[in-house]
Amino acid sequence: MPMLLAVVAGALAAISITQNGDLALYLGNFRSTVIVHAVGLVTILLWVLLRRQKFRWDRTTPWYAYLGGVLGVLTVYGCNVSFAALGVSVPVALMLLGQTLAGAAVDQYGLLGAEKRPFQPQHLFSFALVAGGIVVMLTV
Amino acid sequence: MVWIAVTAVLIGVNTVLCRYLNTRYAQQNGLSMGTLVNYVTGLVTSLAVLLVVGESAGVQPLGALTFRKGMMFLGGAFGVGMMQLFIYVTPRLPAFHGTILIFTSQLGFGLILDFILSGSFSPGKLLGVLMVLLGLAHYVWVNQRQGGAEPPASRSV
Repeated sequence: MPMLLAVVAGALAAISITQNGDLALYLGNFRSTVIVHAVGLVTILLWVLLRRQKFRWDRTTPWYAYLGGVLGVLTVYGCNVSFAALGVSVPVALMLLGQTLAGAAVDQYGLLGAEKRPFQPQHLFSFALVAGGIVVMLTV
Repeated sequence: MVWIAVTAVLIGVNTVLCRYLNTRYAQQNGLSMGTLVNYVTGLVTSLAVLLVVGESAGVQPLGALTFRKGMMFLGGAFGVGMMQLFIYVTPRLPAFHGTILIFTSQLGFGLILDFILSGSFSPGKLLGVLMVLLGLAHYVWVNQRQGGAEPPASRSV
């Protein structure tokens, strides 16, 4: 079951890029980003109410932990711009490359509370293959 | 096109940072509150940007309602569904195969959607996706061999 749900989650990721990109083409990037977040907020509120979950708020939460949603706006905006120019699969491949590069930097320098793990030279081959694949997607 | 490609890579980097911050928040307040606060702060920020910067593009006429046009208003709901599913499946999947499965699913459905939207199949895109998947699989495999964690791309929230 988790395997199937993982496939569904991947599908939802790709589909939502298309949906948000379509909305941006009609309404403009900034307006559509507002609607995406408003619809998301209503959805999570309904989900929490249906499951009768309780909210708790720890006042000692550091201020920077509130910035995930603020930076998330950049993600929605950037996805919309990329979708309009490159479709779905190429932006997904580029984002996965960015995530993996960030992961390598996090491991190398022990950032964001991660344990330090030195960069492996074999990873250069991984990145070359990913970058080569993206070039093929864009040109062939 | 190059700057758009660079933007997409930077979105990937930003995603890792967002996940870390959301996870950090959820550690103290729970996942539901974390997701809720994520959307509240996102809504306030996007509203502020719209009001301060303004939208230069006009609103396009919607025309007759089709399935695709109706679906485009539900992107936020699909995003929440995706987030909840990732939170659920990530700890339940084997690290290597689970990570590769999530990569494959995202890229595979990206290809299918490109095919549906453009109406034409591109063998070059399929070959490129296979190369990207091989590269990502190699990265995760090397990481696992040295006893490291899976890349943050597969981590929850």
